[in-house]
Amino acid sequence: MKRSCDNEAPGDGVMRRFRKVFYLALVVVVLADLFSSHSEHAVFFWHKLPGFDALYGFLSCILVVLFAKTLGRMILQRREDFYDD
Amino acid sequence: MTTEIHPCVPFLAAALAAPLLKGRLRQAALLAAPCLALLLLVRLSGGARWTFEILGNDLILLRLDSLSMIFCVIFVIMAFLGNLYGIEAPPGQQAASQIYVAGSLGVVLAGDLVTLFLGWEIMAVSSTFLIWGRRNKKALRAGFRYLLAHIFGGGLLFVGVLLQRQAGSVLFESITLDFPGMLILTAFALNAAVPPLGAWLPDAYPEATVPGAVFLSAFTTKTAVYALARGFAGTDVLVWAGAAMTLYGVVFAVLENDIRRLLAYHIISQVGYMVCGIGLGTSLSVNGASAHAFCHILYKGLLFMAAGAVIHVTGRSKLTELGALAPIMPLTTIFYIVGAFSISSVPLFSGFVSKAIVVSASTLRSGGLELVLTTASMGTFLSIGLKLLFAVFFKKPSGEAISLKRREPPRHMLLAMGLASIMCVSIGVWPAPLYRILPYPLAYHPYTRDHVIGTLQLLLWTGFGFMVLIKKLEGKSTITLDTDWLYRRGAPRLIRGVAAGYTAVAASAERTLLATGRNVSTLWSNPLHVWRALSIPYDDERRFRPLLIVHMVWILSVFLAAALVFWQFL
Repeated sequence: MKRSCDNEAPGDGVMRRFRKVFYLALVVVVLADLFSSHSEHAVFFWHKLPGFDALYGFLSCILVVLFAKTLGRMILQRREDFYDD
Repeated sequence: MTTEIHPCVPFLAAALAAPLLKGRLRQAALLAAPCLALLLLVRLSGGARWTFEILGNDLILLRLDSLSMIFCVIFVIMAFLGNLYGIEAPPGQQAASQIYVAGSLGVVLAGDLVTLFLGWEIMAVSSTFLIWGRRNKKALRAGFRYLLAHIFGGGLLFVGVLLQRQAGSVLFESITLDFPGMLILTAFALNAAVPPLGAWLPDAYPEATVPGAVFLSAFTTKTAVYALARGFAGTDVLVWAGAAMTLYGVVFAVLENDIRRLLAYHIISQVGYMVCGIGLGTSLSVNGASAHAFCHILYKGLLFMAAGAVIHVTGRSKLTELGALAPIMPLTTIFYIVGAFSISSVPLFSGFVSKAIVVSASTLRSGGLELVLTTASMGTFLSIGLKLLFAVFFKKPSGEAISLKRREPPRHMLLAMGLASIMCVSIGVWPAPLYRILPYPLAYHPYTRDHVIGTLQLLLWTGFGFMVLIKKLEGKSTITLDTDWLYRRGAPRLIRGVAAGYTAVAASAERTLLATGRNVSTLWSNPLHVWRALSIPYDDERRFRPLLIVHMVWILSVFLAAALVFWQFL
């Protein structure tokens, strides 16, 4: 995790501060859920679980990428000149 | 009297004017046409106008109600932005795009299926020139494939309309799902890029000219969305087809390396929300589909404009070849971010207030549907809001660096992007005017505490997922197979196979026939050759005496036959 982030940052100081704020925001939005009512428009049970959206967003993001990459590696991806004659 | 003019007329006039006028005059004509059309549109009152009877068909060229109104308004706005963005494009391109817009207005205002078909074909042909305008071999071939796909769809539509006419009326209202109805539905689905019929879209759009792609991104799929909403609202198959589209576009976009092809896959994904909303068929969901079409045209146009600006300035279009453009093109970066946040439904941007309606409507059907739509939404944020943004504007380029001093695209392009950005943000902040022009009355409040917190959780934690997977998400210089493989590689192979098979069968038939003929003629000339057929030695050279023996044999056999017949019948 730490290693992969090092490559992305040209302006290191700014990026580190940005990352701190980002991690803080991750925690804050989950905590904010504790104070929301969950009564409005709750149709299914997961609308009432605190932090469900955070977990779902994270997991679905990972799943979509892994699924797409596997599909691409196994079947779909080809060299760029595949259709060239 | 002015209320009687069809809003496509100014665009047709501009199409004529573009090649004839020069300089400022041409630019003025191109910008005036959408303004004039908007003026004509708001002065129209509802109902059917411009009705003709041709060959026993009642044609209604101008039928306006709340559903056609919202699509016309956004088409005219987008035409203005597109014309501004492409104000320095070659006049042929400009004329083609004006005809394309006029065709789509013709479709949306058509009161009957025959008029709709005419507009449909005008769109198909004129938009092809926006691809060919790139003037290279790839664009030429992609344009032909695009045209053939649409001619196929147009053929289905034509047959469907003819059968529909035989069954009764060609008025364009809700269509029943009998055989002609299914043909028409398939034709609409092809233009809405529903897989597996939608491969033409990511195949062709990225090969189009820079301003051409801006037009293409807006009109073809959204006229199809309108047509589906008018003809097939509440058709169950569209619910899950739409949901599948949302995921399909997202999955393919993850693998994509070309920036405009990535955006093209997200057209399919976003149109999926609209198709799903139309399939649900409630007034809330059709409202959601219309609102989402409205917002989508603006932010997708904006994204294609920004991607086009990148291509215009750098001449490159691949994630693997781009990077660190934020210091070089800061304004374009900001405009791109506005478009990306809008499509990702970040609160205060336009996607948030429209996508939410469709998702809310989906909860009334099933929980699984809601989760699928949410997943696709996160995938959209991942690809457009994070991956593309990061790879094009912030990350150091992996290959050869782009050595440019600060260089934005021309002013008119910046202005078009700026206007689109302002609209995306204003709709997001103040959705009430948009909600007022929707087809049905709507009481919807997107900015509830739960909804905002939930969306922020989804977005931020998707961002966290992106940080974890950042290595996996780097662009790879590959292309991705889609169903266009079927006609680019599969069909030629099939044809070659069929041709080879046919040739083999025909050749063997020919051989057999010739051999039979040879044998018959040999036996005819001398029946004693039968010895040879029975492999009994028969010396041609010495014993072949045709004149006497052969003719004697034939004469004898004729007598024999005559005798047999005689005895038999007497």
